[in-house]
Amino acid sequence: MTTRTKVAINKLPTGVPGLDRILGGGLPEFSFNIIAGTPGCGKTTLAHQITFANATAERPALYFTILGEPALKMLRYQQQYDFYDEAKMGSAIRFINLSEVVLNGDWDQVLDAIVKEVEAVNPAIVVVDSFRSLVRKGLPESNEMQLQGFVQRLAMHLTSWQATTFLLGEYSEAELRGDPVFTVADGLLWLHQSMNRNSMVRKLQVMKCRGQDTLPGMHIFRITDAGLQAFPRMLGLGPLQNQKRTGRRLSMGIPELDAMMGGGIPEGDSILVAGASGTGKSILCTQFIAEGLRQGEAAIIAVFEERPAEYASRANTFGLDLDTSRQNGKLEILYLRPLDLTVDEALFEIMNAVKRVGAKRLVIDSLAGFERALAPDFREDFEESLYRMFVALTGHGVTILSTLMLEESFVKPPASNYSISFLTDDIIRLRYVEIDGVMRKILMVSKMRGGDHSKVIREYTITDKGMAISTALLDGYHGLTSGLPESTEQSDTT
Amino acid sequence: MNLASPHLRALAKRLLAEEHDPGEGASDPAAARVCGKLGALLSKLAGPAGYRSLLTRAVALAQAEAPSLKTLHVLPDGSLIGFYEAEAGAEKEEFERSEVVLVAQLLGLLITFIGGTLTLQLVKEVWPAIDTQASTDSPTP
Repeated sequence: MTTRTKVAINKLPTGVPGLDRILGGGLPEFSFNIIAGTPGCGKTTLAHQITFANATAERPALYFTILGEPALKMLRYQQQYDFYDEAKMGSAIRFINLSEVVLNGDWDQVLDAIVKEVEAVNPAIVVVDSFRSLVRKGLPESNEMQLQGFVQRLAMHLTSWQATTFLLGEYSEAELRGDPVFTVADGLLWLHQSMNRNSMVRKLQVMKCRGQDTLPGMHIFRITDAGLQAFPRMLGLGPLQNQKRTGRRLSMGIPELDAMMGGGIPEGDSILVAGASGTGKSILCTQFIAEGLRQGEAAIIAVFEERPAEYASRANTFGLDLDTSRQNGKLEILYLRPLDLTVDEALFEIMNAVKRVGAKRLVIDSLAGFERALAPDFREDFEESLYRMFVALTGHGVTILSTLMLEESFVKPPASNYSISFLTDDIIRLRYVEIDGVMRKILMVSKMRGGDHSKVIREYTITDKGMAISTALLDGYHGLTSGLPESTEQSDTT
Repeated sequence: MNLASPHLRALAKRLLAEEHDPGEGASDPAAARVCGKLGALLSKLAGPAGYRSLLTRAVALAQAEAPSLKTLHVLPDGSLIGFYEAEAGAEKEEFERSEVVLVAQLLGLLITFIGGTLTLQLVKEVWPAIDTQASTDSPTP
């Protein structure tokens, strides 16, 4: 009996946070890859980041420049990134300009020039930037077969010399078909960028990566001073999610509410607190977090409309001290950058914060603020993205409380842009009612996926200690959920 | 615009001194040899056209400070002509100062574009023994 052993493919790090996960663990060693995309989408920066992450003096990187960005300018700009390591220049990373041979030679001469350098240096990484300009230039008497032959010989030679290769090119998706380079390539990484109103959105897609279990779909990436950072969109649906439910109930910080919920919120649930402006949603959030902190549970509050200091200061007015926990690392209030945010970035930030503090409780205050903070491009997919985010976080055992502002009317049912039931396990409704010419507030637990709950509608007030729920029943009225209840006495007499 | 700082002039002087006596009866002035050696490396890095444009700019900047270099021209292959005319039209010391200015301007341009560290790495690659960090210990031209 023989044992089948698979060849081990070593995976190289890209140096881009998040991208290795998208690629299924990293770049397959000795692969022949295309990095394609429109001008300015980050191809060269990505190639540089990969180069700096992998080049060593023993196994250097050869960076061939052709007819694109002049090498001196490229070096000038790339030095601005944090990943640029001047100690690697010259010894581990060597730039070679091939413009003369491309302008004056043929395919064989270009190949010879590359082969000569590769054989002399024995590189681990080879980059040709831009390969597209080489093809577009149309070397003398070239045709498609000659180009295909050139690409195949190039790929064969570089792989034989144990180099992992990247050809950079400005391609449009329409060019995918029929270009021999895409047939030969082991990997095809496509970078996109688009403007949506005033927001810039960058996405990348692994269209091909032989031998790798990659994450499908488009993934958001950003370019900052640190270089590229990718946000895998499937983060929440990966193997990390399978954390067992404990069955434990967490206190909301208000005993009467815990009782209405059958003992509190089941750990790992996602709960929505919905109500009109001023009904006390944020106060309930703060009490939920403060109770967790009292019990030694670390927490995260993600805010979109208020700065963290303001949020903590407002909690203080109800006697809830968030600052101490912020100082001792048990609580982080994340203010997520507004207006061009993506859900994947938010998820990444929140997940990192959850891991950082070991959070068990999370507040997202509010969903409307979150949606407004997104680039317009992502608002269409907000619900789906939110679902992925909730699955990811609750899968990690985090209990989430989100707030939702309802446009409440006294003449028609409350309206929301979201499919509430689809998104959350549990729902608490807060609303105003007008009784005898006075605005009062009522609360009801309208959904508990994990078990039974009180169906009673209770009145509550906001005091200097937070939300206080009355134990007395609002007897004598019906139609409370409409906001304009009628006295049962009056009804009986009519 | 003058990119030739005292430190770069001192470095240029040391490079010129290195190339002053090649020991093979060469007749090119030291500045031509310094530019030629840097050019070989820069052509590989930035392409011959890239080096040529950089050298042309350095010559123009040097000519503004050292009129004796007005005779200099950059050929399409990146080599320099007109040194002999410049040498013939100036006192020996003045010509030597002009050579320093030219090399310092070329180094200054490189530093402007790719920074000091990388520029000095390139210099070290051509002249491994040269002290690129030494401060100006001799009078600047």
